[in-house]
Amino acid sequence: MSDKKMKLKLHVYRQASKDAAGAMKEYVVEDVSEHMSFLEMMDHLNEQLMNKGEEPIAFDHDCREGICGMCSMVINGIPHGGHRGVTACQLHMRHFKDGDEIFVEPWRARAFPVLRDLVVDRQAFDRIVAAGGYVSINTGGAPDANALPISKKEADLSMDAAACIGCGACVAACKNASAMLFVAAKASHLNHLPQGEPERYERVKKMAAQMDAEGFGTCSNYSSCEAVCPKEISVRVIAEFNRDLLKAQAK
Amino acid sequence: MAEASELRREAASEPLFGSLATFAMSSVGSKVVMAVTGIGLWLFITAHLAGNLTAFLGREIFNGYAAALHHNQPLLWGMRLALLIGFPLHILTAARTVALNRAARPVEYAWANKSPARAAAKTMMLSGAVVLAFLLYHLAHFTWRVTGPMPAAPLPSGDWDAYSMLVMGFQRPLIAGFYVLGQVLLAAHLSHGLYSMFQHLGLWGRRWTPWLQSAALVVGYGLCIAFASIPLAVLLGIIKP
Repeated sequence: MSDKKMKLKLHVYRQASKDAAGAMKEYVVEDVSEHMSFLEMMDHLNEQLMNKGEEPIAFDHDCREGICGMCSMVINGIPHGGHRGVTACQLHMRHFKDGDEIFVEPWRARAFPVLRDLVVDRQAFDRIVAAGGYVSINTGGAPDANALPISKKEADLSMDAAACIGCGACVAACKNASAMLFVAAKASHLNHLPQGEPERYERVKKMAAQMDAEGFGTCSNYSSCEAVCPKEISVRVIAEFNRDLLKAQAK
Repeated sequence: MAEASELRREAASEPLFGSLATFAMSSVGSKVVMAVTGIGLWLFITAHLAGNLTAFLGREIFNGYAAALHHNQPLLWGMRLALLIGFPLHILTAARTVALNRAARPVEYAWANKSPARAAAKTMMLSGAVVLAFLLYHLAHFTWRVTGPMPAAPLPSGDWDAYSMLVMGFQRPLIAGFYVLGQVLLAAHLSHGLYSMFQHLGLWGRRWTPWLQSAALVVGYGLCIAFASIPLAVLLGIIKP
């Protein structure tokens, strides 16, 4: 296996703390292997920085296998770097070539304040889920499999929405910093199941109200969210959310 | 404990979705207002086009249509009333949501936001503003009759000679050009709006939504071509004085 080594020029957003002023800073990273993931390349850069006695770049990461939703970098203007269905941790350096200039920025939204460098506070999402993204019945022990029949069609719709990992790329990509894809996915995932269906209209009302209170923008149907979503969630869920919220007004 | 109190941060006003009025002010509701008024304005434009195209049938028929419209006061004022409600609602709601959306991202990306989005969708505010400017000019030209060339005297019947106004106006390339420009931007606006309104009203289908996006393009630019054909036909001498 060949292992080409690359030298890259990075422009990374640095901000010391929540209230400090931030700015883009230039770095040169040497010896980048094409087999590295984008986050491994950042680790590599951080090692170089630490060896020089500089403060490493803070960024969110956890599972590094594309399912936790922690990594959150806007790479060359696109959340997660613009390869369909992948998070930044699954983005490989073979997509870049020697001498490339790469811009790395945090998610940008009023509801996602920068805590440090590339780390943003995404608790607004937790508060939206806490407002209505739950089922308020006591489920007891795990029921027997297939005790509650759910049609394949409904199960698929629910599962497609449940794939959301809450990374916030939808907000970061949206020209309006709208959270509609996230909110609608969380609602749709419960609304298509018999346990969640009874609270369907209450749920969308509560989640929409919290979404507005958090200061996210409105949906203009750019579909940028769908394009960057690492789980490829369709804007179908947004239409469904809109329809449920409209129906909820009459209830 | 600290986390629990963080989670308890409630919505600012208590019953945010208490009534339809507050719903109309919410982020989803304001888009429903845009969609409903948008449908109304689109229907009006389509009817308006049907009337305009009678220009190709000659002076008598076009002036007959104009006079019939002018003498049907209930229809005329019904239409005007609907427009006087629909237009300001559409424009003011747009202005409000644009302000909201700018506030939602106080710090822009230092380099660029390269996330894919169709140009027509991203420039709705610009195309809308140009269409509004065009509309005001169009009203000044034909309805208030303060700009543009006017026939020296009204027809013997007392009506204005709308056909002559149309021909005299569009014989000037600058006026005809502005009308065509207005239509091109209207087409861009409709090519996104006609699809978007379905999404805002919650109408989505796995099979027909992709088809709808193409249909919005065809209808939007189709209307543009039909509207723009009139000033162009005058310039080319197909519609004769």
